[in-house]
Amino acid sequence: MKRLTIVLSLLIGLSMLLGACAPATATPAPATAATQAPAAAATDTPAVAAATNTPAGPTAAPATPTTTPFPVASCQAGKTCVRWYVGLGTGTNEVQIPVEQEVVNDFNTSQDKIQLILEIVPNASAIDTLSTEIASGNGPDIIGPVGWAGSNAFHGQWLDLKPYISKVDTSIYNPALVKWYETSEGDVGLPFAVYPSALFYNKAIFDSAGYNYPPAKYGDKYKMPDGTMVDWSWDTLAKVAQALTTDKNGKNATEAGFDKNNIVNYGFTWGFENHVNYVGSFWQSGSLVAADSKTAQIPDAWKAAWQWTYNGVWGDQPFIPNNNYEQSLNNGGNPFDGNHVAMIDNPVWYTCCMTHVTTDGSDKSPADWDIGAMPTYNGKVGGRIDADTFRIWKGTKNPQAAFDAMYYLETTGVQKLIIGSAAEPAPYGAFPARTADQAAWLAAKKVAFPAVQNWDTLVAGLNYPDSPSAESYMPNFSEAWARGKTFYSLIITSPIDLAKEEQTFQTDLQAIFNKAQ
Amino acid sequence: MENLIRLPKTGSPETIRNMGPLARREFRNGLLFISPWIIGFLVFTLFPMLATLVFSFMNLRLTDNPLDPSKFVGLHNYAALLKDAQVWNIRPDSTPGSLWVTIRYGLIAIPVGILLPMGIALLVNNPALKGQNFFRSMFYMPYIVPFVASIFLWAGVLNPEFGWVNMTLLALGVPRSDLPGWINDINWVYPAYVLLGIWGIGNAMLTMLAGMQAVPTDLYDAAKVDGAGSFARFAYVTFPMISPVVFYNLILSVVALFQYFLVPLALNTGNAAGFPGGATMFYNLYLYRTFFVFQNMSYGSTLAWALFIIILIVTVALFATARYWVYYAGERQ
Repeated sequence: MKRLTIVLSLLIGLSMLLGACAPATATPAPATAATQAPAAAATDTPAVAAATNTPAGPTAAPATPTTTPFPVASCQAGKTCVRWYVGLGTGTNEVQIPVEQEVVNDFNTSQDKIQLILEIVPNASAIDTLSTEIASGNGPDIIGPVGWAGSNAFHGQWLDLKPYISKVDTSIYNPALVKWYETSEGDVGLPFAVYPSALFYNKAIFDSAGYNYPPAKYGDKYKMPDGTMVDWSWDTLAKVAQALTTDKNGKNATEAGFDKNNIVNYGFTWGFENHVNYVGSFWQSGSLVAADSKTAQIPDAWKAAWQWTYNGVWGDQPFIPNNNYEQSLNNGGNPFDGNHVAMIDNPVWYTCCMTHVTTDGSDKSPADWDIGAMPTYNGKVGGRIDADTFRIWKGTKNPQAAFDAMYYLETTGVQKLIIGSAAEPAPYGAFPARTADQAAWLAAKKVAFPAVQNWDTLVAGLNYPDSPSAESYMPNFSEAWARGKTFYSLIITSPIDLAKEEQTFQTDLQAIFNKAQ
Repeated sequence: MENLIRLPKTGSPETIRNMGPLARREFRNGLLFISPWIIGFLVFTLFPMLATLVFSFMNLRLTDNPLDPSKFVGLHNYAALLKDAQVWNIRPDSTPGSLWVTIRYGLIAIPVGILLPMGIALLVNNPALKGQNFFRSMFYMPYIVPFVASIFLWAGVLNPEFGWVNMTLLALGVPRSDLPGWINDINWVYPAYVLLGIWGIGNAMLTMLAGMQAVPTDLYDAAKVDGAGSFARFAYVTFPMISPVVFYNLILSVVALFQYFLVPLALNTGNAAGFPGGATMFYNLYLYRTFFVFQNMSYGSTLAWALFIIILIVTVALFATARYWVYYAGERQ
């Protein structure tokens, strides 16, 4: 009996041990299939982080985020140690990390006073990890690459770099981009990677409709099929897009008998510019918070942009795919890449995902797309630039050393991180902000897409930054940003009373801002 | 011997002092054996609960020091909650608040979640049904499928473009323009969620079936003698006798409703939170996002305690109604 008890106890103990080591299983659902929120449920990727998590370009390897803990080097005695935190934006996939480590090694061997230490945190947990590190007073020194939205989640935590920037040569950058980082928190960064927006168009759809391509030069007029020259405005784009939107019978949206329930090709989509702030900024730079930093507002130009979008999706002559179509499988969730949309407005990182816009729809054939100038609203171009840079935590104990290391990353490090070479492709797939580096990047793009002609149009887009950025700070930024994304999803999902929803949106924004008081 | 091993009925110090040596040792060993649970309860349940209660009176973000006394703001968060349009606003013709989203969904989901399993239990309890065990197993089987897996399976089934449901409707002659958008459509997302929830009714069906099988057959015989038809037998015999089980499932359903979370998180948060257009911003999802995504620990804690109070009130109200419709055979009237 005693032996049996011992054996049973051992078996139970062993099974408990094995049970503890087994992977967790999902909790079964109760009666209505509703489930309780686990206390430590995995965080969904916040919109702000996703917005800056740029897909790797065609020269980079597939973006497979790392999920295993990254070993952090220990600080060597006698050196000033500077931690570089990667995770809020791009930089965490497994082909990016070795290059980042290589750049760190290069910096560490280039001098003997500072030791740069790489700290990789998976994007999904990067915000939480950084928050915890900052709360414990153990924040990293350098954080990045990170976009505006990602860094705004930590508004108030960034070091004003003015005293350090004043000692370095900033003439190597486009002055508009340097000025861009002068914020209410001070000079929070230097330009590193930029992604100007441009109008990408499908040449085959234009050709089949007999329409001219969008102008390649900013300021040029557009030639309609009847030969008239008109301003390349958003209204013009809408007219062209309607003519390029065709149903299953081959009729376009401007023709009688057009079947808007069976559209085959659309004229335009916002693609990844899927936020009301982005759409609004293409009409005119602005902000959802008034100058007092407390009051919610909606610029009139933004309302006009949203109305234009709404009409494009739900009007009698639609030319923008609604959400269902955007997400449908037969377009791979990406209608432009599926050869079903004539024009898309996106930042340059989108070149990653246009490999099927080719003469035969296969990614082996030559590209059949090109780049056009952004249209105007009231005679002015409202461009938009996505940008990643590095920030320094204001609690850093070694601000000068941190700035020196950061400056290295933004100058010397660019060669490996952004430009790359044939033997070692750049891991970030970004457009270098430093003017001198841009030619090499463009040369690489020309090799990747030999049929694309208008790369200069892309570069010219740098002259039209959204200032303030579409992702500029709002009180309670992450929540306000998420509310804007939800509102955009509403616009493209269902027919609504847009004016009423704008009022609701503004009321909610005010409540969100108030929570930050 | 009985005195030596008898454990005290209460844990008062006096009782413990009066214990014999063996009883005291067994009491100590008992405490030792349950100490992992006690420690776990204190550290992982009670302490976090109390911490969130304290947080709800502070203005605390994840980057703040929780021991900073300047962060105390009294009842500010509760006052903000009472004015939070994202919680309370009914807005029948616009983007609703999260509590109204939850209630609106519950108005469809709870009746379906109670009546459907009851109906299925009635069917599989019918002696005329051949292969009762087979059907009972089949209806229960989806319940043992990991829920997240079934969520994604249903996301495919309900896909507006290529899902089985819409493909079938298309084959039946429904015009493409009239096909439901399901989880992508603000008007169809709740029916889609309810459809998905039906997948998990096996447990409710099983408890109701057990309740039906416990009804004494002589009650049915007596009802038949009195001339009761099948509906009358259900209304006056079956339902009263299984009403405790129905009540149990109703309580579980209501609590689960207010904690509804996993489906909207898994299906509709990747695109935009509360997608489409805020229609799936359930209260618990709003709470979760406030706490973990927006890192507003204080307001998230306030939302959590408000949820606790709401569930408590609703549950107490349901218990108050129980005396009018729940029949306990063993209870003295």
